[in-house]
Amino acid sequence: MDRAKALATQACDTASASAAAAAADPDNVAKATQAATDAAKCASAQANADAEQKSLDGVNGGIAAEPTNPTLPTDVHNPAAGAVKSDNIEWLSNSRGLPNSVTNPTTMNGNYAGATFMHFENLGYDFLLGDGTGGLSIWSLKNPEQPQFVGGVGADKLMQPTDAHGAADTAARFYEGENPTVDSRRKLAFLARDPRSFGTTGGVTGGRTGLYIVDVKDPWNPEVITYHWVPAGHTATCINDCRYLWSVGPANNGSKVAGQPQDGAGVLHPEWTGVPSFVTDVRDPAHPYTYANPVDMKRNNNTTAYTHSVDVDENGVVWTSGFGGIRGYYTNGLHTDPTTGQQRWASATDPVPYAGGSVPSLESSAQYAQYSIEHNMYHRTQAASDTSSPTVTTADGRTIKKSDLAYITQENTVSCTSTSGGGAGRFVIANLADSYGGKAWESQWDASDPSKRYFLEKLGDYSPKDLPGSNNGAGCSAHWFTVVGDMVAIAFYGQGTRVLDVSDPTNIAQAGYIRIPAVSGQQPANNASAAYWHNGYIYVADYSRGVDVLRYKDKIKGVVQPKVCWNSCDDSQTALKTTSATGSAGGDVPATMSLTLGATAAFGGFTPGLANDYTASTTANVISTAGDGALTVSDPSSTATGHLVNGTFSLPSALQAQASSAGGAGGAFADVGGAAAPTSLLTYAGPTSNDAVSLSFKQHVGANDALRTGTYSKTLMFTLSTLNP
Amino acid sequence: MIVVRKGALALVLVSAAVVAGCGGKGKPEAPKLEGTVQFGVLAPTAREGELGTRGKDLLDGARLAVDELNRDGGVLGHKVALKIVDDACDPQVGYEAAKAFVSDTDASVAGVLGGVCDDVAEREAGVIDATGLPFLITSATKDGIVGEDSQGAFMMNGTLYQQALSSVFWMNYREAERLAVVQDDSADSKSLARQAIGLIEGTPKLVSLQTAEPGGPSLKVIAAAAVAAKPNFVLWTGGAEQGGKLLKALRAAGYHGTFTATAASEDPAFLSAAGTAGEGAYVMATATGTNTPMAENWAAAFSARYSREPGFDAQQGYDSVRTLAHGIEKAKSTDGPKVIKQITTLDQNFVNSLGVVRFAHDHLLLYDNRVILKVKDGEFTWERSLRTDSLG
Repeated sequence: MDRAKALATQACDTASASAAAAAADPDNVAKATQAATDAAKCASAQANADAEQKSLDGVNGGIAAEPTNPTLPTDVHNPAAGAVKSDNIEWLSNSRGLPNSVTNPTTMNGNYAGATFMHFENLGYDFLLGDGTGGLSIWSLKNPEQPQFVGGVGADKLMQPTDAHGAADTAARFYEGENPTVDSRRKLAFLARDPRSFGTTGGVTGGRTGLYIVDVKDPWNPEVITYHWVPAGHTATCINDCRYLWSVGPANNGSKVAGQPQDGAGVLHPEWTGVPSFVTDVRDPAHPYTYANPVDMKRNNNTTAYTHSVDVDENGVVWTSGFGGIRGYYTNGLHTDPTTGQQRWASATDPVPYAGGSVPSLESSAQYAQYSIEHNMYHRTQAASDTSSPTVTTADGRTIKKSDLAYITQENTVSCTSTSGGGAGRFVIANLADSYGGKAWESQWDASDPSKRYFLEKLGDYSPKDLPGSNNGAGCSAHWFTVVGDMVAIAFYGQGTRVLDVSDPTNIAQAGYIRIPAVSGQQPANNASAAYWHNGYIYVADYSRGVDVLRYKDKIKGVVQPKVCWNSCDDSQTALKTTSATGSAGGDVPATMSLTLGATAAFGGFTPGLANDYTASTTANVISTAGDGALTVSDPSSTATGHLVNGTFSLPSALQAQASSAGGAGGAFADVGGAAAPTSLLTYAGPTSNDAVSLSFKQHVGANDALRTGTYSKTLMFTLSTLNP
Repeated sequence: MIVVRKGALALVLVSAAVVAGCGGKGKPEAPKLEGTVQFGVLAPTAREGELGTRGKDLLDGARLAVDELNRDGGVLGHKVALKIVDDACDPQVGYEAAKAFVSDTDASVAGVLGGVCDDVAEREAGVIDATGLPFLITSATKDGIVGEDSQGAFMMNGTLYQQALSSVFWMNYREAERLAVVQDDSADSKSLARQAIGLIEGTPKLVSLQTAEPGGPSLKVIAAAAVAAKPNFVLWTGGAEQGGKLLKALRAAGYHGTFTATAASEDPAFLSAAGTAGEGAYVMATATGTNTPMAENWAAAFSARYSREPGFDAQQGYDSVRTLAHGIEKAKSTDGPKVIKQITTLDQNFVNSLGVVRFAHDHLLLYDNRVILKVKDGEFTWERSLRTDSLG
């Protein structure tokens, strides 16, 4: 923030000087040009500084404190009796969340197609958000092993009346927002609405698509901000730091004519074989804006086809998956467009192609891009902090760049033994190396001519068929997955959840598995839709069971990247809390630093005209495996930093803070500093577990201090850090 | 040295309120449905000149809507009448005028519309918002008149902020890569420019920013300087005549890219100042009965009734009466809070000439009323609505 302000000041000083020079010589075009250029730089830098400040001020930490004795929604906890699993997988818990149907609230069936995470800064822990036919469910991960279902938006709250895009919703069955996306900074959740929602369960023709924007800053009481029609709605993903969404799919989109998707202006496009990606500007969630013309066009060898998923990689490149393969795009910055050879600015509505192509599948040439869909993908990247080799050597001695690897689900939901569409969907790894020059966008390709399709090289593939834990007669397709280091956690419908070792991309190995069969009258069999690495656990969104929590007990191979990206690459997708390792097994302690605050600290009423020192207190809990540690407090606000404020009024005396605990060394009351100079509260000489911290605050009010009617408050930032992790 | 940060948390320190004694006004009792249902109107009814014309437009548009309602049986089976109060487009007069709806014991006023001038609407909104009555602000564009904390005040016109937002949408449509902005020295022009620049966030790249102001460089120099920055999109946020002159100077300086002026340039002065250089220019205007093809029938009905073309405020008055009536019908009551609740959730089939009328949480139109006009053969011609395409 200070840097942004300094840059703005510097740019604006320059602009002032240029403006003065131009004013002194008003007919001098060169000076006017320089002044205009410098003024633009000043305005841009100022806008950036304002945005930084707004971001800092507006970092929506979510609800300030947990509600007192909230009424929690009814939940069901499905057991895992008879689980077929590898020894390195531990089943920890299950929560159904909202039932799969509002008409049957006691069912054990919780239908979840996908999930994501959101960190709540004020509370100090994460929440899990999942969606499925029941609507949006939200779980507290205060205890990450036992998610607590705290709130949601039931499908009945998502129903729409008759309008130009469809008849009134009649059956309270949401469908399904398969891959929910969130903006953790603004505490917003976005749910794509599929045309198979509400009363159109039999097909997609005539169904209403769109987007729901939900304010989840109070997870106990989420609120739908708006429903917004978009001519797509199977999945949606935040891109460009969630200033835009790309909404995609499905194969048809709810237009009134089967097989004829429509664009944003309602024009039918029978030449499209599926729905591409529509761009919605969500800078202002109260006023979303969708553009008529979609992107990711002609994705299948120059035929516009069904885009199924959008996933942003660690570098901000936006990848689409769907019929015809995978495609990567720049959506911001200056890049050379490989289709023209010209440099241009990429944007969300006019992206620049990056790489990608079709992916070999088991379909026949005639079946291609009709049965097995590239469902979602992950582009492997290597962060600057990862100093390991940029290449991987395969078992047969081949050297491949890690950043050329694309991990891909090919979905075909049939049993392991079925040959329909070439057989059940698989998890594959493809090589992007040949595709960077815009090859997939060349005009020579023709989807209808098998000899004129452009394919990436497939390096390896995986199916659970006949492997330990398999149930060959059940649904056997690959589905949503996430990646940590060289390990993939992936859902496989009736085959449950699998952990794959992809350290050799040509030899994908099953490293772990769990499949939960039905127990009559007690629990439904698993029908796993998505598996997410998160903070040392695997959370599984299941079409039948709700959410299962797993622990993978073996070592994570490879180097854990600082940001774990899938879907939107949101900051809440926190990296695994396990040190990177490639050696032998042992008794490692996961690197852990946890800080949990107690209830809001409240002073009593301030009495005007009377000098007094008011005190308030709360508690914190610290867990740290680091070699040392420090707990600090700061006031990030630039308004009366370190002082309680009431609107434009602030108290003359600084707020003071102090902490004490059994495990840490504290000090005396000290003024709360700004973000650049946080106030030390406690220091730790070594690791500590569940150190109960007493936090005290002192506020002096002088006899002559003018007090304004109302509430004085401040939001403070507590930081637990270490120099010796 | 590695620093691992984890657990950055916020804590709110709350002091109990220091309470001062100041009783608030009690909520007015629910109106009894007897006789006519009255809609209050705040407008400059006694002014001369442009403001007088605008006030007259607003009233006539409202009357047209009332007549249509009454022809169809009124609202909840009761005839509708307008209760007109002159606000003179003066903040102090407007404040007192608005108080008429606070102090009056006439419980038949079910809602208020009006607010032609920004500063007046702001004063009026504060007063009426405290009465529990819905207030549809017909014409003002100033930012901050309403917000999420508003009770019953809603903007029926897009705000300056929304105009800035729309300008960014339009830049995307025109594939703007290098943006030059020229503003004049008015507060609205600078605010619009500043907000648009703040919203673009790097795409397009702002390459030139200049101010056309008295004592500043000539428009010829400004144009040459802008062209030197090689923009492919120029945004003008100032007044009409100067905008036309700037465009003329830009074309003379060799600029061939997109030129877009904001709403203030929808004025004959822009066309005459630009001359032939105006051809192909765009103006991001506010929808009216005369510039929007979908409103042609309504404009014809207005002209037939009043023997003149409807101004902008006429359509706003008309739409506001209909919106208020629709809220009452949905609420099945004239009770203010009940009507307000229904206005916040207007059904998706309730439309005006641009399409669905709905409000967002911030009490602004969910989809505002910007349209793009293109200069062809020396006239403003319809190009497209700038509402989200997905409204289909």
